[in-house]
Amino acid sequence: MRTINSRKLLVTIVSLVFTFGSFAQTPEESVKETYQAFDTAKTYNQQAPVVNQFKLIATKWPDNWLCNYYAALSIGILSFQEPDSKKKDPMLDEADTYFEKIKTMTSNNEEVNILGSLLAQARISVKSSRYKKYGDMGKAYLDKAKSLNPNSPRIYYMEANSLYYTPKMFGGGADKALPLYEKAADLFAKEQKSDISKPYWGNAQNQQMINLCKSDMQAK
Amino acid sequence: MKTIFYNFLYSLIFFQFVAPFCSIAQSVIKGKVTDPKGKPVPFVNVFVKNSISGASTDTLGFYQIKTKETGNHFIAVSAIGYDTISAFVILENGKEYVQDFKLKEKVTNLGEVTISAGSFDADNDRKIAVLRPIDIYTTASAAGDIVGAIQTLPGTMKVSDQTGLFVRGGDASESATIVDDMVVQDPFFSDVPGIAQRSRFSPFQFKGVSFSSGGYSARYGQALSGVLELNTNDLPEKTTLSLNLNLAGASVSGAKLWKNQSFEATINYTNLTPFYGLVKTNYDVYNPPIGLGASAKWVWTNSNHDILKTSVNYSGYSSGIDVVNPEMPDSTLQFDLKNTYGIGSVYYKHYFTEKTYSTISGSYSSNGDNVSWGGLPYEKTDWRAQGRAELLSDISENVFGFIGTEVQRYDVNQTSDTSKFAYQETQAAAYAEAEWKPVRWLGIKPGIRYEYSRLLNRGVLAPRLAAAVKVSEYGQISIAGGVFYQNPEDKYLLVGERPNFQQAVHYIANYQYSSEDRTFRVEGYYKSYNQLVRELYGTYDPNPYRIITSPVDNSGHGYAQGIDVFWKDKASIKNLDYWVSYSYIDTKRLYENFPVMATPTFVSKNNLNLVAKYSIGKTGFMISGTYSFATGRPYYDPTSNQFLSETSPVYQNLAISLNYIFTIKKVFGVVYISGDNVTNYHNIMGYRYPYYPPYDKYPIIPAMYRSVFVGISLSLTPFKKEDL
Repeated sequence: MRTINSRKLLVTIVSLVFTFGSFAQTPEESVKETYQAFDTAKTYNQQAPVVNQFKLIATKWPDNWLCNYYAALSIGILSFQEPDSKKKDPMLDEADTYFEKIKTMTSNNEEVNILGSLLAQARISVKSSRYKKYGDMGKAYLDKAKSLNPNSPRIYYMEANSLYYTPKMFGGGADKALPLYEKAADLFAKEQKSDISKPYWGNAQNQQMINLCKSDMQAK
Repeated sequence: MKTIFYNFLYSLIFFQFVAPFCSIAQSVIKGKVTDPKGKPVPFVNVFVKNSISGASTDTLGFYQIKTKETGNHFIAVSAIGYDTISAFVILENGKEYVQDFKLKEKVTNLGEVTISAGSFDADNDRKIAVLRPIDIYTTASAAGDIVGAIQTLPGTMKVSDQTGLFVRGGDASESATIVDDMVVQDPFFSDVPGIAQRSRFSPFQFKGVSFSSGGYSARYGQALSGVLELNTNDLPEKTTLSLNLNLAGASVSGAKLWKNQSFEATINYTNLTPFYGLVKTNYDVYNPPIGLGASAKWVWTNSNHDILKTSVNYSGYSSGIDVVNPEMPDSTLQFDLKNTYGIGSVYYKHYFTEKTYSTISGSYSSNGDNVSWGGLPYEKTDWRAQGRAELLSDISENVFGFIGTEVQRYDVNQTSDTSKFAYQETQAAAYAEAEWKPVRWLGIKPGIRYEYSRLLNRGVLAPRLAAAVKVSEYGQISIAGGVFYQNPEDKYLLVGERPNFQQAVHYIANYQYSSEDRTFRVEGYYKSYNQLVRELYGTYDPNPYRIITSPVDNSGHGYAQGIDVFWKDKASIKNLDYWVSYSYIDTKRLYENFPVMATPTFVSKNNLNLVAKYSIGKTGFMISGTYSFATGRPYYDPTSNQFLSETSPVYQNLAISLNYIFTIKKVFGVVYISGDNVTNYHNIMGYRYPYYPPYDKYPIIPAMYRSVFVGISLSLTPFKKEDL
């Protein structure tokens, strides 16, 4: 009982600081605040307002790596769920404007490359005939990310996604993707999840895909 | 108790520290966002400009922003597909503002225009291409032959008894085939009387195919009707090894890829004995074609995107077929053929800057036919050496231009036991062309070409012009035209005649609608033929192998006009990709030994092709079919009082093929089975008459009616979906 109440108190005080702090928030704080919602949003209706908020933050601080990263990332993730397919390409064009900025800022950062592969995968999901151009592009980004930091779990999550959605007759499928998801899961478990400038998203989605793979394989 | 106390403390803190700020130090802006029709627009961003205060509209279009900003501000709405609009407001804490927004649709940016009159491009790299190379490879009636697939496009016709690409009323000599900027002297296997031969090209070796049925670029000449332009692959995808086995033979090919280079080699063995054992032929194939071929290719690139491609190709084969004697249609003769063919070529592309690059290419080819014509020996050899150099540049943001020069040196020799004919030719040309897009929706492409022939001792200037204007998001109107020259045919040059160049003037216009999934195209053209070679004496003889004895001049002329319609769709029915192509042509010419103007015998007035491909879900099966229909072709009836007025019956062909893709461990494979003329329709392409009474007519029939072809391809690396 005591613990629960202390935690509640702590949470309140912490959120107080943020409400206080929104007078003169730093970009990191704005992003972190919106990130809470981003992490828990599941449906399109929940995600779309979060994406709009990230875009506003990126407009306010256009030269900040973090703001542009989360703007591009959240638009990319939302595009998979966008019901109007004609909007997907313009959305991804907008994501590209944020992505292009951080490509030049921190070109060595492995998370930027992983984001690049996510945006490439999003382009393929709009039109599968783009497999060749964007498939090669996505793979090049992941190879670059691996050379910078082979321990980022998102690399293997992206690779696994690509394999999962490749038809079985071309060498893909749930059974090929599962080992990569599991490798990602191990790395997610070891990751620090406190510093917003060192992205740590993806664990929940990864776990979802593991469950999906397992149920696919059982269904055979 | 403790719980209650902590809860009280919690709420006390909340209300004391937070509530006052909540109620005093902010203002509220709310309203509704609607589209031009008045419908609510959900999930769009409404925000205070230059701040992070913003909110998204809910599913009913309502938004509510709470902001601490004060003073002069703009509230803006941004949504995809609409113009961003804003409203001015002076913000004061504690106040509430209502601001509704009615969005205005954004005027769609017209995409960039592409000049397309007279040409079909199949390119892996272009976003909106009318065709992709796989469309060509999977066409059922093509049997893996690029030219066979091109014949299902508008502007061409399939002529089963003559070898070549027949474009818009032009005969086989009026089309040129170009591979990597080099003119191919012998694109088809050696001529066999009455039986059309396939092209020498193997599928999968090209990354881009561009077929022009008129109005083609100033880069090329020596073709009155059209150009088939093929570009080979650059570096292969990865190191591979693949095997092909089918009723025509077997081949093994491997490619090794290093960081910047690759080496590919293929060996193929051709033996059509199993095929001719299975299929019933209309002529006796007593020696089915047997041959051997090998090719090697080395590609080098660097980080600058420069590329060097070198390749060599050799093939030799022999065959023996009983064919209808072209001189006496009531009898057959034994046609024995031994052919050797070799070609080596080099292509180098170098970037000086990002916008300017040059290409240098050269090739040498040699072809030898050793024929026994019903016992009479006959030998034909030809060789060609050529070189081309070009400088290309993005001169400015709106202008792309190039200049270039080419030299062609070739020899043709024909020897029989009674005669020997030969000629040597050197041709040189210089050309320049520019593509100017003053605005995104308008493109103009003027070109000029100067051609010189040493044999004819003449030079000519050939201007070209093409233009296109975009009329809607997916639609455009294109025109193309120009003057085209061509040497007289071999049969005149070999006997020593030196008439002037033959000439054609093209006028072409089209309307094309093409989105990523659908294409509609209608094209009209008029070609005027001038300076065609005409034999001055003698009566008409339909035998294409006759020796020319009459003197000639350039008084021949003619015209070709028509309309082509093309519709391609891969979105309307899931997994179904189909196209329909219809061509109407009206053409007459007075040339060669024609006594009067007439429609030539290789022309059918109406041509229709229906090509469909269907993938059966995720099973790995794909079924494709091609239905071809053509109205009759004229034939010569010596008993008639009107020249070439009789026409053959209609031509019909239904081809069906089935592909199955599978994987076993690390081996990927395709099994294919295809049937041509599955209804066993007995096509008659015309009639021939003997020179003496009784003038019974003999039908010109294809080499076989119904036929079947089976094969398997295995690869030790995955196929990409696009390869199939």
